Amino acid sequence: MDVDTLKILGVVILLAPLTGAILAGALGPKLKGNTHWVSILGVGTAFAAAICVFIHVSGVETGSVSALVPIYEWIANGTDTVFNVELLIDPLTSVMLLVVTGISLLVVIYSRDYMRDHGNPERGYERFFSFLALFVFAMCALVLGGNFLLLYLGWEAVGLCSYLLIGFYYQKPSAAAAAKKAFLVNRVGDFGFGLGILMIYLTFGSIQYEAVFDAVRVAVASGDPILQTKITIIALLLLCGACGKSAQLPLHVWLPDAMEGPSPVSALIHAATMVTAGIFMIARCGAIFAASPVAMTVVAVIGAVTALFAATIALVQTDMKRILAYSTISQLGYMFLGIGVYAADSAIFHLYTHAFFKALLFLGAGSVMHAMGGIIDVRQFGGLRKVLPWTFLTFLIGSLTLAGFPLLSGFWSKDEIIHHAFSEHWILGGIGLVTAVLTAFYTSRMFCLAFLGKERIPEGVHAHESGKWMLLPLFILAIGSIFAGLAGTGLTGKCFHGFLEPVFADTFATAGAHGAEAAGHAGEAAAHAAEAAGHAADAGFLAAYGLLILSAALAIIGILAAYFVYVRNQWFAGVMKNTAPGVYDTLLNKYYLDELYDETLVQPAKMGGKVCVGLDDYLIDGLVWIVTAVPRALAYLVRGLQAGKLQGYAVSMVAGMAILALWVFWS
Amino acid sequence: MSFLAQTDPWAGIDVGEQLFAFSPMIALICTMLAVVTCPLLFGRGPRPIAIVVAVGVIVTFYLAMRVAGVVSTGAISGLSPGGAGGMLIADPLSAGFQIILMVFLAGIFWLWWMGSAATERNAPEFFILLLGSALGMALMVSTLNLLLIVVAIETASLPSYAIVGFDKRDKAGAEAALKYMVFGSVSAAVMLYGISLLYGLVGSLNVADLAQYVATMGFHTGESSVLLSVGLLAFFAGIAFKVSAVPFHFWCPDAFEGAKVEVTTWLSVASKAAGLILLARVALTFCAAVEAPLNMQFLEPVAWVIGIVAAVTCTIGNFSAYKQESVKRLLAYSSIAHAGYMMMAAAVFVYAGSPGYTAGLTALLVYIIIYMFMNLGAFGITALVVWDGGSDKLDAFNGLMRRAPWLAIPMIICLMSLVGLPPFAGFIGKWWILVALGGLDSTLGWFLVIAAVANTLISLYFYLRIVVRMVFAEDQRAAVRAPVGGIALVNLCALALLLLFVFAQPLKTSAEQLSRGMYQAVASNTSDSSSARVADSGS
Repeated sequence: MDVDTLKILGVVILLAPLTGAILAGALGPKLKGNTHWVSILGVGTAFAAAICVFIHVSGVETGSVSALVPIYEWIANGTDTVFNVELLIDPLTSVMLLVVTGISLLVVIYSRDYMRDHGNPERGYERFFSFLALFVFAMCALVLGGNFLLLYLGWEAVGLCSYLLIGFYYQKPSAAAAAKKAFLVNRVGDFGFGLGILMIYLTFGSIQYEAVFDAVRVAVASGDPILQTKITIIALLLLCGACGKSAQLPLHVWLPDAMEGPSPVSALIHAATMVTAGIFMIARCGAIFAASPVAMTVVAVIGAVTALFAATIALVQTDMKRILAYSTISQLGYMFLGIGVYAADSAIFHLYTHAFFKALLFLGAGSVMHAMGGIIDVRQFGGLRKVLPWTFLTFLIGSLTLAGFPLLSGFWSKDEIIHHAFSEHWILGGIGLVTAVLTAFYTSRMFCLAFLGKERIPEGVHAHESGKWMLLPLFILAIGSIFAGLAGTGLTGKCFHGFLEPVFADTFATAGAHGAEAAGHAGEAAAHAAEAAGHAADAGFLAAYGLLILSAALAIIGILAAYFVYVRNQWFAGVMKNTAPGVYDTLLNKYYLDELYDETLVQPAKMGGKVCVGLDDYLIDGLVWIVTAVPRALAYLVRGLQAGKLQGYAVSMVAGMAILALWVFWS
Repeated sequence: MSFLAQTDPWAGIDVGEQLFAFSPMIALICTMLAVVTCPLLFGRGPRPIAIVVAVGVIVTFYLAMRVAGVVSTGAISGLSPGGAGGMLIADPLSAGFQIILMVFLAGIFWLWWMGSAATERNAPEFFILLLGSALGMALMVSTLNLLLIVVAIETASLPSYAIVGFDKRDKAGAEAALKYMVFGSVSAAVMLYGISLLYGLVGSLNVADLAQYVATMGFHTGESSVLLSVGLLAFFAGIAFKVSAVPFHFWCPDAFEGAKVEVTTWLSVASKAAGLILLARVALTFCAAVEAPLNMQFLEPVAWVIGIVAAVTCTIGNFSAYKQESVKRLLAYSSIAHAGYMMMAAAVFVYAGSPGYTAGLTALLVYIIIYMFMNLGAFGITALVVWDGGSDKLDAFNGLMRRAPWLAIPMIICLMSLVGLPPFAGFIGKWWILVALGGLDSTLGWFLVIAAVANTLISLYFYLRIVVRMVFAEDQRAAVRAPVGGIALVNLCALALLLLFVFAQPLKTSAEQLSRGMYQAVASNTSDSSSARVADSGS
């Protein structure tokens, strides 16, 4: 590939949003209600450059589709310690860039109207657009970085932007608390992530992707058990960071609270882009993860459990954005599951379709919220079909896509992951199917409560359809939700997977081949391979189409069940609630995990904090006092001889020299 | 590194070239003369003086650049008249320092023009003193002759005393100047005493001869070891006074608080930097004389003395800054602490000896340049705030983020850079010092690494106090009125700090070139006597 062109494009993708962020911040007080143009221009330029990168990468006919683009040398000490600023551009990067900059552009456009109150810019309008553009820069740096240092930089920077934007309404105590929670929970994950990178550097002596991955391949080939263990530990540490960023169990607790931020932020950062950074990172570090069957199993299990767990909670929540947040956690669980069963291409495919329909749903929820004067609880309104016709239509498309309605994009990608999960282990696949039914049910429940049935609008709210700046992104995303999935279907010859194939060719082998490999590793090769082979053979047709039909049927059953309960026979919901109150309460309180964390972690940490404050007050301040006491004591001594400080200083000086002289003689 | 021996370093270098090698200093002297004559021709207004000074600084800068270009090829890397033991040196290090000094002087001049120029009635005298101390500092880094070292330090110090108490009506300034002068005199006396001991012992004023003596006799052998140690310590005390290392630092907070902000800024960077480079030159001459296997035996105690003084300086500077209410005084203590960090780099090259000195010297030079921007920015903002509100107490900074965001944001950048946090250049400065210390892989190195990191943590607190006041403290006062030029200056400093972090390598590469090309003196009575080794910077 043409490195020079890619260098220019990469720098443009990074600098355009950064410049936008700085200008929006610096000129914001002057531009006021027009600040959005600065961000739109910055992010739009990045999007255009991302398209160019994509065209460039997809146009490669011969040779490698992966290019390391050096920008400049950052810190170098001779040749042994070198940290460079370099970009890695390959199909994975270009797909991620398209998703990130594309969705960002739509969200920035949407925010132009959303961040207004009756046509007047809200307080902090320019701050919002500045942070949004800064986020795009950080996310692009994360995706483009060619080594772990830049990955870490982007990783922390998106975390910072997330913190700033969750706490955008910092006057609201709940928003400030949510921002803090997100930051602290991510700190737990990032601590592991940082340790992982440190260990990579100590083990392989480099932090550059290619060098590290090559070293890992050599290590695997050598079969050294110590190195093998180290690789597993590294993978688990990196996974720790991914769990924090992508809100997987047990670090998922921050994401539902993060919905305190403005809806465009929820759509962009907490649904479509930042939370997928964990999946991107695992896919990028495929060489490390694929070299450790243990880590892969952990990834798959965490993904499957999280998917099911979050879906059950979403069943009973009443805040639209929270339902969507749990659904995001659940869908991210699918992606983890996909990677865990060696189907990274399917996971990235799901990431790509999910970005469309989840951004659409969040922006739609934002549109509802905007119309309802900030109210988002589905118990307080309903039947908005007539009031918000366009939001209704686009939200319907988004909901059906999320529910896995046949032939919409979410259906294809989700089905693929379940398919691959089955070929790894039937329990994983089974969880995937159950989650699919639940997803269809809670999505339809939310949709029915909000849009169908009798029209209910909170008192004093003048409901109105959103303006064209908000509707345009909704239409584009709705079209994307319907058709984006086609890129990964047989109709287009699975061109999406074909495009990504070179990235994962030597790391995530096909599930079947891996099954044999993993079994061999475990020492029960024969039995397992035979089973896998037999499974593959008799599942030939069934696995290909039976599963497709089954999951389509399950999705439709889920949708109809929700329609039956929440529109036709509303008494039934009460019955369900009352027959098993324990289950209902547990779900409503999110399995009491927040309370558990509070009891076991937060309160002890607070206690520790108090101890530290005590130490600071007595020990540290005492030390400070002692240190400052030396000159004071000397001054006091001198004061007896002669008033005035100068002489005291001189005595200290001479005393200091004497001490030095004595020390030199004695040593 | 290869050395090019010349039997007579003056041979083949005509008088014109010699004069050219010292032309930056000559240009400074000419500027001073022009400043003296200027009021006779154009009156005492600040404008003509300012033009003369600006032209002088630019010419000096240009000449220093030219000299740096010439000496970097190794053509006249070292100048020393045979037998006399080398009075003056022109090498990449001295030329590089003169360039840095002129850039910094331009910054000080800019600051002065923004604030004090309008009310200054004695501009000619002010600039004669300022340029005089600059000349002394330029001289300090260009010599290895004990006598000339004393002359250079006094040339730098005497105008400094006067300039600290320049405003006669200001009692605090006068008191500070007096304290400064008394300390300076005592230190000079101690230093001269030490030098007289050393001269009596060695019979030469050339540091290279002294180093040769140490290399052959050692510290602990011979009946003269006490004399030698006391002499060296007393000599070190004179340098430590300029650097304001503990326990020779007591003048620093008083003088810095009492003086005008421009003067404080000038002294906080230039005087310390010159002292440190002088220390580096002297220390490296010792390293060059002592053969590598004997390094440990002879130079380890010296390295330990410098290292412990550095660690103590850091710690005392940082702890003393804790409870300060005056920002100028706080930054004065911070400058003491930073002198400590820079002395750690000096300990590195003394310990590592001749072959491995570049890492330490490079780290020192990088730190000096970054430190210049940090202090110019932080003091500049303090000056702008003082000129607006008349107070340099912490309260004057309350709510600055709202009252003057264009001052508060660069202030945050400068302060965080002083702490050494990424993404600002202060991190890079500390990074190279830590890398150099870690590279020693010795007890001393790791001890200093721990001291530096612990001190960085300690310092975070008092720098953050200012940030907290600026961002969170409620304040109803009106917006700060600051001249546009002043705002531009401090924002340029902040921008430089960001850029030097993002593009960290060029600074390090050029600092490395300066330190590689450094002139290496040898004793006049060695086998290749009356010769100077000329470092071949191309290697």
